[in-house]
Amino acid sequence: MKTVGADGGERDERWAGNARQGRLGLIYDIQRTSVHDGPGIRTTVFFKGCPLHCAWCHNPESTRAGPDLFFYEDRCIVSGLCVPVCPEDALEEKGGRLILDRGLCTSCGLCADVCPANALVRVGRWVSVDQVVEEMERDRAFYSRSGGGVTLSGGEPMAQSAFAGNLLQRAKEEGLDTAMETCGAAAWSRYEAVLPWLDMVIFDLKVTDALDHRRLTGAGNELILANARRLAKSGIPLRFRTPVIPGENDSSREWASLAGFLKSLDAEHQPEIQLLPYHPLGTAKYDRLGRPYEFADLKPPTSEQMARYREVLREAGVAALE
Amino acid sequence: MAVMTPRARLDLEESLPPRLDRLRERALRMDEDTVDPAERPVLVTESWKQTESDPFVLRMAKALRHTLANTSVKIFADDLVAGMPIRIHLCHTNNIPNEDWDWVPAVSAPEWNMNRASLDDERVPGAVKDALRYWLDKPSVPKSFRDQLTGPQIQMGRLGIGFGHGFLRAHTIPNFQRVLEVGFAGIRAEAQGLLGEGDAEARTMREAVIIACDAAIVFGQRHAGLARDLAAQEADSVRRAELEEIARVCEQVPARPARTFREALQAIWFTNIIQEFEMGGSTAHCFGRLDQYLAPYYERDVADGGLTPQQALDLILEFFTKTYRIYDDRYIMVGGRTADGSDGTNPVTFLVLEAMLRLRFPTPVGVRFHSETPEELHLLAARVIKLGMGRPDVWNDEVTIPALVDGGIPAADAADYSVTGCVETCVPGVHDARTMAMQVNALKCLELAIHGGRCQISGEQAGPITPIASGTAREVWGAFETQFRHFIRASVAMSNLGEAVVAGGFAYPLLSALTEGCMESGRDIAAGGARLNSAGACLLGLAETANSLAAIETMVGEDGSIPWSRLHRALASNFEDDEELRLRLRNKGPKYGNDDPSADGIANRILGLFADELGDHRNARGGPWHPMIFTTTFEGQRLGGLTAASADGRHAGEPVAPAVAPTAGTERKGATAAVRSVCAIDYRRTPGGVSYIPDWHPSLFSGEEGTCNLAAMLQAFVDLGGMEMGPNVLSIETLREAQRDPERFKHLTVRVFGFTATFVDLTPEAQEYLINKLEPAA
Ligand code: SF4
Repeated sequence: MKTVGADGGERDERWAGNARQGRLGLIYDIQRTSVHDGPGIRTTVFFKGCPLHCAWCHNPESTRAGPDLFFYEDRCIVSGLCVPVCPEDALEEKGGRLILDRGLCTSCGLCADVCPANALVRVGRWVSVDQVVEEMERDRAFYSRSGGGVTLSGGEPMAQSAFAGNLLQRAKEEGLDTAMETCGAAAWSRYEAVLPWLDMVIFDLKVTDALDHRRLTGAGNELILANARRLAKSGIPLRFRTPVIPGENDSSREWASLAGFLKSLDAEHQPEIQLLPYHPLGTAKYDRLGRPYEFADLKPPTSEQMARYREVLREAGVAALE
Repeated sequence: MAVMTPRARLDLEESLPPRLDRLRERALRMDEDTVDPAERPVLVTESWKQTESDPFVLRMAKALRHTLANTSVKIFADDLVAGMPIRIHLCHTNNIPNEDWDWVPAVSAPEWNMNRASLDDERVPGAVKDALRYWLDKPSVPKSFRDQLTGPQIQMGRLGIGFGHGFLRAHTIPNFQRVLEVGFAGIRAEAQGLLGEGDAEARTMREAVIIACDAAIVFGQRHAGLARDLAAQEADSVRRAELEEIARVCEQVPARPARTFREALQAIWFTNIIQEFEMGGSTAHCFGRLDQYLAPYYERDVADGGLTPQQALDLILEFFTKTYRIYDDRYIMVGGRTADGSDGTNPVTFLVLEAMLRLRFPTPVGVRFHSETPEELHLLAARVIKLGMGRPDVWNDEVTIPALVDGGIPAADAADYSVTGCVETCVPGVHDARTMAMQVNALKCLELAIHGGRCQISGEQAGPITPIASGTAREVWGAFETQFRHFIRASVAMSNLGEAVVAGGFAYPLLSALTEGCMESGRDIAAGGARLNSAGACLLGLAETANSLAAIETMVGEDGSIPWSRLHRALASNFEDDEELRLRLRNKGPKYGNDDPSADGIANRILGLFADELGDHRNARGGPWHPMIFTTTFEGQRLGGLTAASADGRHAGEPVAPAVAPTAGTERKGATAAVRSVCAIDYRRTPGGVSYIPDWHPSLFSGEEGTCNLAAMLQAFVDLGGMEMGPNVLSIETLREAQRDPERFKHLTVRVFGFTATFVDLTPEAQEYLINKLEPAA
């Protein structure tokens, strides 16, 4: 598997061209037996890189548009094998522990290749369309029996839209059902280009209030809302997803605004919405990435709260899924 | 035939009617309606003392007749089906006359039936002690078998390399259809007709069959008489009518042909009880294809208006309350193709599964699927599996039938296959499958190959000397092949020795009467009288052996970076000073269970070698060997405990994975990838049966959509060419175990709100959350 090599040179040129044309893409996982992102049993491809930076993100390894390195300190046996391998001298054995200097590390991943304990793990790898399609093909028997298929998720697939488009087109040509989960923050032309190859879009809508959106994700939501409108109008089956972050996007004003927005969509069938309770399940991943986690103290919403919010939406005439 | 979907007919969430609820409670209390386990040893011994001059087979028949004529017969309130269940087994006492009675571990036992309960134990009833004293100096089959074993055979078993016994220990399916069609009186008449034919052994055998049939007929009549007496005393007119009906049913069956659904079910139940009285000890006296036997009666009765679907369901529910016991392996098979290849799914198929939904007993039911199985059956099976009892397991006709045909079973018989015990294939009524007659631990053979034939646990030289110079994959495979073939041959020989002992030492006239071929040949089933005579050979340690060979191929010797000497040293010292190497072997390189053709391919090569070698041998009854891949978790632990460190990064003593399952902790790509690996095994080569028990978290299959996804998993398993799968949709206990032992449960994928994650990688709080989510459902 090709990676962003530390060896530089000619290959980088070729690789850059391939990436530009969407023959290569940066992903961090291909998850089989997914049952939550579209109908049936699916394979989900997680793209690396996201234009938004949601403070509560439970997949922090997905956000950067370049490779990352997970360090599971609990697995490390301090074999020392990685230390001489590192081109940046970012690794050091000290006091019976392995110390990783994140300031020096470029996430080249060479240390992960020699780590016997899988304590150092590459997050993100460059893969070709063929490689991904080959992996997708493997679970065809499960898709066809369950009405499942493949889903692009992330990160944000539209941040690598040429690659996403190639993947979706190939998947469709192979007769696979396709879905894409998106945060909506990409030029409309990119959506337009992939729509012919999509059977469903799952749209992550964080918050309708523009100021709150900027505060929570680091970006405005004008483009996002406009894309949601256009997608609804395009006629593609659309499912919204909203994470419920207690104290941040669960005010009654926000529910009213969300319901208003969904009802204002010019869609053939009224889109569904699924509320996902915030849960601090990504906490450990922040540690493994050596990043601070601001939401460490946030409590998840109770199931009663969740039920109430769904009820509020339903009363407002919105199809809120269980 | 139109398939009646149960959901259209009955409300599945409906609770049990009060009568059945009471029967359910009674079953769970275990001791209220069971045959007193002390009766059999006492009655068998009484009879045995009076038949000392008779041939063994006649003594068996007379012991059965004496037992069935004198064992207590009771009919309890709420019973419509007569015949007390044998809920409690006394292994050591039930094993007389021909098995060891002092070594078989307790299966389901009252307090005093501990393993090797001593004759001094005050909890053993006096009558049982008196009976057992008679047997103290009597020979037994296992004893004479052990006396004949050679040193190398004993060593091979002791070190956990291989073993063979060739014993017939239950794991059979009698010809229930014959009981239904002609009754024991009809079978008796047939024996009578053949009485004068053949040699002395044949004549004695048929004489024994006549006595055994008499025993069965008397047993039914005793129930009829009791029911009549009870009816005469009964004040309540409704109950009186019920008792009179029981009397009428028991007058008819099992002596004469069954005429109705109810009589058919009663005859099947009596036959099972009688068989347990005959054979004692072992418990896998299986029911075969229950829905196929009952369907003609069901259809006729429903058409005649003599039976409603609800009454049929209630009878099956009652039957399941009767079969309930703590450990039950009387397998019931439903669904599947018929002998002419058409789909045999029928209304009774659905009723059986529906009874499981209602009763929630882990009755050992399996379902046969094939390419034309109706979708409703997949869905209903998925609903039952979601109850978390690990039942039913599913079988794939498309693979199993051709495998049996390849294994020398005629096509019409192969199409009629069922299962005995856990997962062992057997054709009902014609087949002495002598399952698990031998086993070979492939991982131990690899250990011997790597260490020149020397066992690394005991230090003993156990196998041929196989020197390895540089550790190329070719060289290691060659050494492995030498050891593996050597121990397959040794285990075959050991099993055939056991079969010879069994042929003279066991006899089961009633079972023989219900096994095609025996009566005709005048030979007991134990002496090879059955029309089909295969023997099952288990391959153990498949995943670990494949992973070890894959690691050597990709990482060791001239092909990889790890020098052979280093690997050799590390394995000999149980990785004592080389944890780094162990982790590398464990974490890098291909592993079976991840949909990786290189590892899966090695697993197939190992199986191919096993099947090829066995193909060159016959069992002692002249039949073929049927390879099987089956280990219980318990046996996997025992054999792993006897096996030294292996090149897959496994420490000495760690368990080997059960049957075709991937090694715990090595599945990294999710349930579908593991299923694909398991389905990549060439099951055409395992006619004897295999077992795959994936652990799946219920969150993957929650709600109606989840039921459909689970049904799709089952269908895909069939499409991909799997053989057997019994998904374990997890319980709270399993998740707690995963928390305690995360290494073993790395494969466990769960759905968490909007994403799917590995359970053991979640934070403790998240794990708690997921466990708590299960509580209300439990
Ligand atoms: S990924 Fe590992 S080898 Fe590469 S720079 Fe970082 S610490 Fe060094």
